Amino acid sequence: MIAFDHYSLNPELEHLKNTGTATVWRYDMENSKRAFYNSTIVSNQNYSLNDAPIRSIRNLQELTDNWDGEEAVAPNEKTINSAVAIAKNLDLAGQKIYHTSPGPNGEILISLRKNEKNVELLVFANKSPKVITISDLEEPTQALLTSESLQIALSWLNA
Amino acid sequence: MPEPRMEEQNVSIEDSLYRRIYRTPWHKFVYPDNTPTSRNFVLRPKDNGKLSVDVARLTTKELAVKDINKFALVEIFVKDVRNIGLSAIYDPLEDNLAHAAICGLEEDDDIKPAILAKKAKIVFS
Repeated sequence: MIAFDHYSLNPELEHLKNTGTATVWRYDMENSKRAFYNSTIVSNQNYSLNDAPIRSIRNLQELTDNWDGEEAVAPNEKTINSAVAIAKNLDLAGQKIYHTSPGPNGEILISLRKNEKNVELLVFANKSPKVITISDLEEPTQALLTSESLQIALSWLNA
Repeated sequence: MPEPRMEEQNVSIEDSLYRRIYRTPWHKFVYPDNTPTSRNFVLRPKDNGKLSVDVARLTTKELAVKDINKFALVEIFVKDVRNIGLSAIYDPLEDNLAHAAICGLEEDDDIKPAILAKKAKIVFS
């Protein structure tokens, strides 16, 4: 068992925002003793599981039409906001996003992966979002993305 | 590259196909494990229902990629295309006799682009 104690701000760490030091004790359950383990830097900043993918989705607002030189349509603000909302829901569900990518028709792909299983969440500019499941061993599926279909896909992915 | 003879011009089940994918920014079109995303196999309005490819046997990687600064190449086997109910047809262009097309993709079907992506391998980048 590891216990944190004596959390304090350290002036030497002022250059690191939202950090402090904590004394970490190793607790010996059998002998009811605690022993000094080490001192470490800790952060009280809240980090999202999918910070980087959410940033990538938001950065898609920089794309303009013909962004790939092959007449690809840039995702619009509504599509980007919907994709960010889905990514945040995945965060709440504890599901890490594997990759995000724009598509040629203004859509955004949010990809989830575990071993040989893939889930694709597709957010479109002018139609309802979809969830696709693909694996080497099972028949692929496609459904409209709802809280229920997302739950089913995540259960399948993580089974 | 010599002009293909007539008997070579049908797309065979043994053939493989090259598809150009846009290479920059690289991370937008490939997964971190260097495999292509399904979005490389989605039809655009300008495609008129035909996904543009080249028959590997009738070209070279250098010719098929056209501009290595702009594109990379993925390879997919005709048998994998046909296994999911799509067809590959020889579709020569005036300036590209190796040109072919994958036909049968539908706008509302997002399963087949994902399967094609899973089967395809990046062969020139």
